[in-house]
Parts: sequence; C-alpha cells; structure tokens
Amino acid sequence: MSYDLEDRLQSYGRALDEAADQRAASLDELEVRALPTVTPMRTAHRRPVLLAAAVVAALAIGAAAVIVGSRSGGERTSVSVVTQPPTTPTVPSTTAVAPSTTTSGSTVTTATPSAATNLSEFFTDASRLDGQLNALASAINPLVAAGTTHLPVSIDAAKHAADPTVAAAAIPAGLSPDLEHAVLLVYSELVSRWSSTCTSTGDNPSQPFHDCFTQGAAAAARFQADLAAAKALAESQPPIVGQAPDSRAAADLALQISHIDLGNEGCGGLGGYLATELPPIVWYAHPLGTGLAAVMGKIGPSGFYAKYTPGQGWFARELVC
Amino acid sequence: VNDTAVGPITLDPGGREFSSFFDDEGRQLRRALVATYGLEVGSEVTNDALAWAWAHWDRVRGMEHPVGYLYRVGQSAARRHHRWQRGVVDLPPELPGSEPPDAGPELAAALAGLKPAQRAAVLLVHAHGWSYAEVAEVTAASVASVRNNLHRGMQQLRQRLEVS
Repeated sequence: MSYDLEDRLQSYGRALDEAADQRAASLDELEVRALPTVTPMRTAHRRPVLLAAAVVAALAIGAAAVIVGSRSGGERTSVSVVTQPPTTPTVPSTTAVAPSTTTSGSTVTTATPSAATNLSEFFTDASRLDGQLNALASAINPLVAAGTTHLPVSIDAAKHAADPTVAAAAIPAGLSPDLEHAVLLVYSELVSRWSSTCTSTGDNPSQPFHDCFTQGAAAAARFQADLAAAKALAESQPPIVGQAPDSRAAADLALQISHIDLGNEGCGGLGGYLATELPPIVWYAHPLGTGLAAVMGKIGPSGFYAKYTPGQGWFARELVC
Repeated sequence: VNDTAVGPITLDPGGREFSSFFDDEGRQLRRALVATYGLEVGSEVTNDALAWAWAHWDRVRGMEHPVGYLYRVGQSAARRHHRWQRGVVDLPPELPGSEPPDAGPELAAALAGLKPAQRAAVLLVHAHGWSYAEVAEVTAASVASVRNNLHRGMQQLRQRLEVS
C-alpha cells in the first residue's frame, strides 16, 4: 500500500470525535432509562475510592412521584430498636405548628381539606415501614448481641420489604418549605434506619460487620415524634397545588431525596444522616453539552449535574466521595 | 425547564467558568483519555475526571495545567475499570468513505494493538493535531518520550497496515 498514513489518521480524528459525542449522549440516555429500576445492591456507591458517587433521582412524569434509583437493597439492619418516642420531639426549626406526640395510625383523616390529604400515602407508607423496621431490628438485635457475624438469609427478604423508596415516591412536589422539611426529616429517619442494617452476605468488604449496626438507634428514637409533627403540620396547611414534573420544585425535591439517600448510603455509609437541616440548592443554567447534563448546580457543598427528560423525569448526579 | 414555580435558575460566576472549562478543556481531556483507553473506558473516565473537577473546582481553577491533572485523575479511574483491566480497547471504525481506496486492514484494530502511550501519541499528534509539547504536558511525559512513542507507534502501524 502506498497511501499517506498521516492523512488517514487525520480523517480518523473526526471519527473518534463523532463516536465519543454519540457515546456520551447515549450514556446519558441509558442512565435516564435506568432510573425507575430499583437496584438491589448499590455496590458502586460503596467503593471507598470512587471519586464521584452517583446518586440517581427521577421525578416520574404525570404522577409527580419521585423515584429514587440505585438504592442498595439489602445491606444493613437497624440496630437498636427504640419503640418509645422521646418526650421532646425534634422537628425542623421552621415548623409552625407544635408537634403532637400522640398522633398515630397509618392514615390521616382531616375534617377539612389540608396538605395531609396530599401526604396520606406517605404517612401510611411511613407508619408501615416503621413497623417493618422495628420488626427487622428486633430480629437482628439478639443475633448481634450474641456475637454473630453472619445474618440468616431470611433477613434479606425482610430488609427488601422495608425499602423506604416507596415512601419517597409518595412525597408530592410543591409542599410548603417547612412541611417538605418535616416530611423529608421523617423520610431520612427511615432511610437511616434501613441503611444501618446489613444483609446476610454484607456488601462492603472494607467495613467490618459490626459497623453495620450502629447508626439506626437515633433515628428510631425520634421517629414517632417527628412523624407526628409532620402530620400535625400537614393538617394545619391547605392542600397543595401539584407542580409540573419539570418544575424547579420537583427537581429540588428529587435532589433532596437523593441527597438523603447518599448521606446514608453513599461512600460506604451505613446510615446516620438525618435531614435536620436541608442543604441549600443552587442551580446554574448553562448547558453542559453532551456527555453530562443540561444544567448543574450545588446542593450544600457538593456539585451535581442534572437534566430533565420529558417522559422520564429528572436525572441528577451528585458529586461526592 | 419550567422554573416559574420556584424562580429563575441562577447562574453564578463559578458555574459559568466551569461550563467554559467543560466545553474547551473538557474536550481536550476526552480526546486524550479516549486515545489512551479507547472509546468506552476513555469516555467514562473523562466523565469521572470532569465530575471530580466540578466537585473540586476551587482547586482546579487555579491549576497551571488542569487538563494534565485531570488526565491523571482519569488514569486512576481507568485502573479500576474492569474493561481496561481485561485489556479491552474499543475504537470506532473509520467514517464511511474516508479510508483510502487501498486501505487494507482496519485502522481501529491496528491502533487498538498499540501500547497505550504509543496510541495516545499517534492519535493526539496525527488525528487531533496536537504538538509534541501539548501531548507531553497532558500525559506528564517528556517531549523526547512522546517523540519516541510516536515513532514506534507509527512504525508498528505501518507494519500492521502494510503501508510502505
């Protein structure tokens, strides 16, 4: 052959750029399509050396339901079970209505329309999950106290059944800031308790088994009081007007939920992060082009990429670890 | 984005600055990492490195050679990539009609068979038009090393492609 190899390589440079552009775009699409799937194990988030742990959140179009993807499905089991709520409930500082420690039950009934109607599914889920997590911890605590280092396989199914993702999906966008905070605090307590447990196999070789059972107690102790406070606050506020799936309110909610998940499960986390304060979110509008996201911003100190895809929801990647 | 519910999306100087970096230096970084690791691994570690840059933007923005630093961030990420550990280097085919009439063996396969440093030198210099000094700066190699890798890489390519 006698052609000029340098010329052939120069043409190949355009092929490389085009292929890389196409691949970057297709990668984003793949990630977005994967959002509704709840992955049983979030192993990628637990690699301690990972530079950018990915947290995926999506707001399903139409229903304004937040679906948080990539949840680890069966790692740790809550530690100490505290069935009695503390006498002084902890609620967000902005809460306008004093919490009641006596509210209980899985449903909320109100005489007049209120935001509690919008949150009835969430409160039902939260109460059910609370019971499941208590039962889970009751099953595990004696084993841990006896010095076991391996849990029975039966624990795994119980943990999967107590996955708080369903509660996240029941939080509507458009709540008042103080009510959203109160609801997210309750959600974070469920996630903290759930994330502090381990499965029969464990999923993070870098962390000792006994570390799995140390972060659930605080959340369990305050759960009932904070749930009651959220219910009381919801009953005191008018029903919300639903927000469009592509609204800032929907995106902010998805980000806060993913931030709670990441705080409890990301970077080798084993629970313990409670949303007593919500980090501020700042959005930057400049499009990033192919390969990453349409918009970016910061949630608290961490950067994130995010984009909205019609019909699929918000995709966000928080950059931590 | 429907931002009427909460308010307009803001744009701060840091975000604007990073966006510009992403558009310009980010593309150079991707070229370097794809040339070294192939399309899949190179693209993914580029995203990793840019994500790291955004998370550490206050630090990266003050660097004299941020692309070179991020190239090494990408190198670290690639070492953990299972496809790279298996030695898989995927490169795209030539654009339709761009190969010479008597091209012979596939260029992508021949490039994939080179050592990473040789492939990077060949592609960055001849496919993307970088100078030796630019390749050396990003890959943290000496200019002499780049020249050597380029020479050996081209030599092997000519043999594999049966080019005189």
